[in-house]
Parts: sequence; structure tokens; C-alpha cells
Amino acid sequence: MMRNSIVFVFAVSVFGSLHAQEKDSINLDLLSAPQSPAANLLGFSDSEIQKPENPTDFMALVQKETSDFTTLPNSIAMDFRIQSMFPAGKHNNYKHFSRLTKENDASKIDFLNNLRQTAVFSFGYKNFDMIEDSMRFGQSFSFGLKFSLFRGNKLDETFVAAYKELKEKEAAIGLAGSKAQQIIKTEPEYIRLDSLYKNAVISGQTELAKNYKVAFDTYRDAYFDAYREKYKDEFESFKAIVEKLEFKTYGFVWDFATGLVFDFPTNNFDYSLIGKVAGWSTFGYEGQKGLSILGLGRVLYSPDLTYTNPLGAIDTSSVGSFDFGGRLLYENPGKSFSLSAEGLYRLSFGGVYDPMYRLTFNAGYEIGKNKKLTFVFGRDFDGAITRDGTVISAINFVMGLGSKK
Amino acid sequence: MSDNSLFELIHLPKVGAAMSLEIRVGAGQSGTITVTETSGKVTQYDGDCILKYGNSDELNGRELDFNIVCTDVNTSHNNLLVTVEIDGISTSSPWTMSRKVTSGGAYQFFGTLSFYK
Repeated sequence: MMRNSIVFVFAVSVFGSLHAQEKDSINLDLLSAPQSPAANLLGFSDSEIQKPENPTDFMALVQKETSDFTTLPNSIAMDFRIQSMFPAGKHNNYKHFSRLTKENDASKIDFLNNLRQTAVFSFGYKNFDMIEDSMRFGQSFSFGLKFSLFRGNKLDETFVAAYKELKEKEAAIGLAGSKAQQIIKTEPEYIRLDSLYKNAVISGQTELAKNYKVAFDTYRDAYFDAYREKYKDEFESFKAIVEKLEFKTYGFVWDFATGLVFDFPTNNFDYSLIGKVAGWSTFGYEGQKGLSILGLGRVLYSPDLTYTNPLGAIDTSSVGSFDFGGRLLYENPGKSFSLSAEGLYRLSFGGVYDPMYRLTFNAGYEIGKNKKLTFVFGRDFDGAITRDGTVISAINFVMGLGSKK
Repeated sequence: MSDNSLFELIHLPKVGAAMSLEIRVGAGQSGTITVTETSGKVTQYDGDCILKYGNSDELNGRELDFNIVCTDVNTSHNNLLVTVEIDGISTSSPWTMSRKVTSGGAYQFFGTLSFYK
């Protein structure tokens, strides 16, 4: 059975995405590969072994298995980065780029901060009635949670250099600002207004103090506005540095994910079954030159699964299985194209059905900033009833929204 | 009060108390805080700083000047934000300064805290 599909993936930074694009805005490349454990459980993510990535605030994945777009998608998944749902805390501000290692000891991984930054809640939906040739009926909903324990302890050299340049520039302008603050204090008008305001406050002349404060603030604002105008080009030049700040890490990576699927086989809300419960871990090494090797271990529990037993008879029982496999991935360091091959082997606990495997080849090409085209081809696991290893053939168009702010 | 500069005259308590001053930049932005003391001593901090004083009396008659160079590296709504907060003595803090910038934009905020008894 050949399955053709077009998949659209939207990686959206929630807060900035729908605002009008400003003419001189720059592109902060935030596109992450789809992470969704919910999509993974419902079988429509573009890869089974997903490379640990730094998540965006929000990501949605929509799949429709027809070549036109006149009907609703049959599969949808959404990921929410948990931390972005809460208001910024008192001390989480500048840690945007210092979340890998402890603030006071760069040689130690900041485990808790890492966990907080990467925890993703995932929701997915699939309507089997809308899928041609589907052997299943009804609708399924899935929920997942994913977080990263390690995302590599090496920062990208380009990022490090750009970040250093940024901090040096900020520090230099900070010192210039400090001088400007001392110079204004020698201005006769500043001294006069400062003195009038302070005397009015200290002597309790509230109304007079208010008036002097307005005059004092106006004078200060005009002075600092003129100062900023002088440094206008300097401030403008920050954009070129920020554009190089693509947060990228290398080294040992380790993700955990877990999820649950609810099936509604009769499309009746009062009749639901737990379709799958799974927990899995992805780990590996991401190299600086674009080569990554990843491994996956997954435990899957399917209550009331109908399958063909080793004697060839149709059987139904609760089945536990274990998946393990690997993925070899090459991403061009400029990310313009990627190639990967992945293999997974599935064993059922107690040997209730024969082992099965999945082998796929994936290719991706970045067709523009935050727009990626990917292709997957290969052999899927044997069906629960059939044993013919479905051919997978899908083109994915991944588009990031919200990175231009 | 202007939204991009701050001047606060702070009345210290009659009886000296332990106090702290915190300056921090908002989420998704890079920031360098430059603090200049009355003595002329300049200190720079990355992202936030907490200055602690064992007795507020030591600040009597002094001024603290600070400026914060903020850069948007991934802010929501491209709104750069700085918060200044004093703990330990009674003031009207926290004070905030904010500025809308385009993506990747930078801005410099200025502030002065003047203490008297």
C-alpha cells in the first residue's frame, strides 16, 4: 500500500507571529524541526527518531493526505513550550543564552534550567475516517510531554563569537553612557533644576516639587535623546550581530518523551479507549561538522491490540513492545540541506507477534529562511494485521512563522 | 515620568536598615548594566545586578547612576524592558523603563537614584 501525503509544519513563536512585519526587521532564525511526541504517537511525524532541538514557543503540525486543500486536515499536532505559558519570572531574564551551564560555574550543566527551558506539552489529533484506505475508524487524540536532559555542552563557535561581540559592544556603549551621565551633572541647568527639585521635596512643597520634576525630566530626556541620536548608527549595527546569534549546541544530547493516545472508534464521546501509552528516550552525539548519530529506546503499551500472532491467527490482547533503533544524520553546517537514514526494530513482550522493522531515508532542503522541504521514503513497520511493510513516501513542507519580528 | 529614563529621589528611613537594589533586563533580551557610584567607580554587570547594603545610612547623600544597554535577541512584541527594584526600605519601587524596537534592535536606558535622609 502506497501512502502519499503532503505535510505542512508551522513552527510558530506565539507572541511575535501575527504582528505586522516591520520593514527593517531582521530574521532571527528560530526554526526547529518538529518535536511533537503527540504526532509521533499518532504516526505522522516526519521522523521517528527526532533530533533534540531547542524548541520554539509554539509549533503546529498539520497533515492532509490529499493533493488539494479543499477539506480539513486529517491530522493535527500542536506543541507548547511550557515555560512560555507563564509570565517571565523575577530572575529568568538574561538567561536566554546561558541556560546550558550554571551561572556561577560554566563547567557544570544547569540541569534544572535546561529542563525548564525545553519542557514541551504536546497535543495531537487524527481522524481515521478521513484517511483513504485506512483500516481503522473513528478519531484519536494524543497528549505528550517532552523534555531535554542534555543538549550538548558545546556552543556553536559562530554563536560564541557573535555573542562576545555583542557583549563588548554593549559594554563600550555602557561606558560611553556612564561618561555622558557624569557630564550632564556638570551642566549649569542640570545643577539648577536638580537643586530646585531636591529642595522642594525636602521642604515638603509637593506641588512645586512636581513641577520641578517635570522640568528636570524634560531636560534630562532631551540630553539623553541627543546622546542616543549620536550613537544611532552604533545601535543600528547591533542587528547585524544579532542575526548571527543562532543558538546551536553540539555534543551529547539526551531527550525524554512520554505520551498517551485516546481512541474514539465510534466517534462517540462516551465510548473511548486508551489506544497507546509510550515512553521513550532519544540520545546521541551531535557533531560540529553536521554529522549526528542518534539512538532511540521506546516502550509502548497497546491495550486491546488486534494483531496476527506467530501462528497466523488474528488475536486481540494487551501488548507491550520495545522499539530500538538508530539514525545517522548529516546536516550541512549552513543547514541548507540534510540527509538521514534511520532504522527501528520492534519486539513484542512475550513474543505475541513476530519482530518487525522500519527503514527510512530522509532528505531535507532549506528553500529560504525558515522554509524547509523534506522528503521521506522507506519501509514502515508491518501492519498489525497485514505483514507487508507499508511503503512510506511523503513530502514535508516546514515553514517557520514568528521568527521575523 | 519618562518611560526610557528614571530619576528617583529616595528618602532613607530614620533608622538605618539593610537594603538591596536590583536592576534586571526583561526576558529574551541581552543587557549590560553599567553602574557609576558617586565616587566615580564604574562597574558593569551582565543581565542583572543586585547591590546589597548592610545599612541604608551609608547611601545618605549619595547618588547611583546606571545605564542599561539592551538588545533584542528574542523578545515578545520587541519590547525592551528594564526593572529597578529596592527591597528593605519603603519606596515606590519597582520602577520600569521600556522601549519598542525592531527585531534585533538595541537601546540604552538611563537612571539615577539619589538618596537623602
